Amino acid sequence: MNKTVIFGFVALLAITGCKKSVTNNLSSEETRVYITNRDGNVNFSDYKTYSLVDSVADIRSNGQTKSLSSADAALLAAVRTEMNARGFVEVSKDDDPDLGLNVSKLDITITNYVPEYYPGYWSGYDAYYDPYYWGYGGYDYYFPTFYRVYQYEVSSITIDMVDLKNASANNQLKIIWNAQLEGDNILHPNAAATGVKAAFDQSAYLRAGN
Amino acid sequence: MIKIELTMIFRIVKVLISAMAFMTLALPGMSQEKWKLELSYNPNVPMSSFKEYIDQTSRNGWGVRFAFGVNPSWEVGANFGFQDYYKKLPRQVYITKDGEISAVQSRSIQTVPLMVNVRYKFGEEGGIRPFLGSGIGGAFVTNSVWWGQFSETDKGFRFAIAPEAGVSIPVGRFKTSSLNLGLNYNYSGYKTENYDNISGIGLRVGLAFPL
Repeated sequence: MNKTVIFGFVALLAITGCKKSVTNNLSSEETRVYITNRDGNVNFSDYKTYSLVDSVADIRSNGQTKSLSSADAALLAAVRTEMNARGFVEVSKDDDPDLGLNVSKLDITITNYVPEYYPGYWSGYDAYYDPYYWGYGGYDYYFPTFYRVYQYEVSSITIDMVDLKNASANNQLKIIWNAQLEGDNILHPNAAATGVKAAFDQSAYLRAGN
Repeated sequence: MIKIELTMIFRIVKVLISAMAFMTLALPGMSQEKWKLELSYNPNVPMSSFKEYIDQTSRNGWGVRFAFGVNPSWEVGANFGFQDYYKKLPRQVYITKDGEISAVQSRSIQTVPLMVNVRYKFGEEGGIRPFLGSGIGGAFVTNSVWWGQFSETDKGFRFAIAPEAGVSIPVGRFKTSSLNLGLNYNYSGYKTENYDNISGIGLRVGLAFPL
């Protein structure tokens, strides 16, 4: 009898280990998540011109690393394409753009830096674009705290849209839209391009003013 | 949370063991054959609002039941089991408080019912016997929502009940074992904003043999 009871409990342990694995049932594409957050008080048609950073901030545990590999160039080009398609006009950062676009990436295959991040956390790292880059040395970035993110040890891409038009009035560099692309192999150029397009497409309110 | 669950498990197991010990003492002359073990395969079809959340049949369901024959018609016992529900949705955009999320959502729910049960068998021993019964107790529920590869999980222990009807077909040389075929309605009070409870109709294919 005792043996049977033990057998019964072992059987229970065995069967409870039989749940279907969710991740094994996802394709690489299906693991990816594209999150976009916006400042609900902003009317994006108040903005027209933008400037895109000249390289991708490569976030690691230390060091000021900017990267412009062919994959990074493709990533920046994808952002440019989507911005232009929505009526925004690219100008030099010296030509007083309304918006600045910071693009960052985290590659866990080459860094042991494990992010416990929320939007803006990366801005504390050397690699993240200094406000000085946008001509506002001494200013701080402001990231709305309500933005939703996931906290996992995965590679990811972040696009932060900076309000340069009202920087002086705000006395800070406010992030008014942001996109986080996360998931399996997200840094691959094809995956990144798909993610960038999806992030812009799902943000229907992103339309430049006249 | 885990501490509370463990305390509850210990309490339930203690009650079950006490009940079985009581039956053993209170009913002298009881032979070992009165004890039975039933192992069953339990596919389950979700019902009501739960069906709107996961409409796919759970083919991954199992049960273990200990039963004691009080007399030729009545059995009392305890059972536990496992049920795995799963559904993957196509990629879509979900609106959040401050933005949007594009993801493939996977819904994964596991229940582990832990119940005492009673069963009444019609007819004579050795023959084909219809039966009615019910289990009552609780169920541990693990409810996960996956956004792509990222999951959010909630756990709970809730009231559960599972009335059943079936037929017991004797098998084996001495007809002491039986193939039990039945249907049950199973309910657990676990709810979320998406459904009011976890309920379904389950098929039960069990093999019972004396201990």
